[in-house]
Amino acid sequence: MKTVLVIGGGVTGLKTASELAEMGYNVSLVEKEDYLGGQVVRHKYYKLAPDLRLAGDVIDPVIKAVESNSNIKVHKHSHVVSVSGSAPEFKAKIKNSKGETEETFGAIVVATGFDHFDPTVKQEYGYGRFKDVVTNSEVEEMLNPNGPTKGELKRPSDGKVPKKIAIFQCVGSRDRQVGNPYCCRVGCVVSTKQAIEIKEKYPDSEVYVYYMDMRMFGRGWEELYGKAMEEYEVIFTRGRGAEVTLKNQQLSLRAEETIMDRPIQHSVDMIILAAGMAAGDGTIEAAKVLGIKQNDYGFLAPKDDFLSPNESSKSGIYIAGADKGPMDIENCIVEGAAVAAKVAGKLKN
Amino acid sequence: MSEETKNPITEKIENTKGGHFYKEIMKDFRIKESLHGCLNCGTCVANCPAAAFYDYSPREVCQMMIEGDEETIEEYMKGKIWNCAQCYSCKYRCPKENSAADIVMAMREIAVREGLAAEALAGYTRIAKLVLTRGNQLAPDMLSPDAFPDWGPRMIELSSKKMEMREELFEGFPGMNVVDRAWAAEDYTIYEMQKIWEESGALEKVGTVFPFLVDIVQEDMEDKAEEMDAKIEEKKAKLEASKKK
Repeated sequence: MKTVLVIGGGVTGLKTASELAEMGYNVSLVEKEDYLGGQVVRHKYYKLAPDLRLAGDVIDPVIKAVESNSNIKVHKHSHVVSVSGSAPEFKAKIKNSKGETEETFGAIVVATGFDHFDPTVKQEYGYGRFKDVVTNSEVEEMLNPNGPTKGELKRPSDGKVPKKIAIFQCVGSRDRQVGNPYCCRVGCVVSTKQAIEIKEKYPDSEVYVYYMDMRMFGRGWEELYGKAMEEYEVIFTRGRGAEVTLKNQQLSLRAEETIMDRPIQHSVDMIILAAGMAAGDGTIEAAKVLGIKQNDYGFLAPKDDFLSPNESSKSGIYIAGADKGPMDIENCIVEGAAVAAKVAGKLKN
Repeated sequence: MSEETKNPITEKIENTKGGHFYKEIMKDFRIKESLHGCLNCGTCVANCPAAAFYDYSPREVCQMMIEGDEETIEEYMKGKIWNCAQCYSCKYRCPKENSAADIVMAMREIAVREGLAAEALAGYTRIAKLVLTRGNQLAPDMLSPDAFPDWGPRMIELSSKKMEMREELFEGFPGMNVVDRAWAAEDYTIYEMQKIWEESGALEKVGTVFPFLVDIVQEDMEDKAEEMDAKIEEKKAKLEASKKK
């Protein structure tokens, strides 16, 4: 029986590992952090769109399926530092603080995921300069009862609950200026979800979403968008947030109301940047160590997007999840299962 | 595939966009780098100082060039494009890296060439005169709050007090506290500058918009040139003489 190396302990990697282990394969799961669950756990995602179910209800069983399966060896706080050989026999060196071990694998699955785009480079938004300009992942942490504010949305500057909140869509996405012309595929629904959560918790607050297009293509997303407008009175303004300044100690944003054809200024208490997805450090590192192809934006390139979506440019090395490009949790789980089936079929022969 | 065939805008010139002005604008070398489709996101308008105070929208400029409607383009060349301040904020903020400012620059040149600019620029005769004769765009006394809706309260206050301030600053300010230029250029500098206007064809171009002005300036220039040429000859002769010694 051959062993599979899975790199990355986020949703995709966990699902891949548990699926393979259930089919009787041995799996070594390598995770650079000292916890499993990837970005979901790192940023304490609270609720998931479109059902507003707790993220924990999804991620906990996935983690448990890995931790409880004796076929899976979990290497936390570890990195794959080098790989030699070729399919169907790879030798990989796994390094952690205690030292280096070498193991032999029949196949490698890369599930190294994404990083949240760092909006510091969009200087006009003032992230890092103005305390009350925050990212959507910071809002997730705040809304989570186990987070730093114990579930309260608080302005970092004074700890008060903001009354007027603006959400900027497409931060670091659909933007050539930062080299990311692609769509992040989750920002629209996550912002809509957060707007609803905020309005639910603070009915007196005003939430404004500044968008270019609301891309509600996922299961139940369009319905959630309708709900945000009809039931929660979230205000969607068609115009991209352009600039943030501080006027008399209050945040002031500029945008164009493109449907009304007029430039506007808007004073708000807090601005949430819907930061998109960028290729993760782990993904860039894995591509380097394994020598597999990346696309223009650093994500991993499948051998054929249509016909072999989970195969990398190298035989025996597979890719899955958000390391291929922006992807939501639901689809990451599908990807994890798909790549597991592909690997199992290959190793069986 | 080459860059040229990949750009849908270049392809549309022959196919559907038939107008003369449209074609002339699209021929400009700047357009290909200034228009890559448009998300209609409004970032340019939100950042545009001209859009905040005048009837101008950089997004409209991009959309207009994408649509290529000849009548709209002609109307723009006669009017709205002259409201752009050429600050290039649109270019440095546009998520598509479009540059309405560059499109406007190309349109302005073509508008001048094609005789569409005269009416829009009629109010700028004094400025053109000052540029041609003194190398200054504006003299402080040409600035009044009526002409600048974008002035803030501080600027308006300063402007209203300028006479008193001058009196305080300089006792016996020449010419009844009035100034006709922002800074003084030396005669020789102006002579050189005017030579450049002439040699580069700029003067001729300005003449298509302000014909009478250019006639007057040219006469003035000729007088000055004679004077300066004589001075130069004199200097040369002196130099020669000193060499011989």
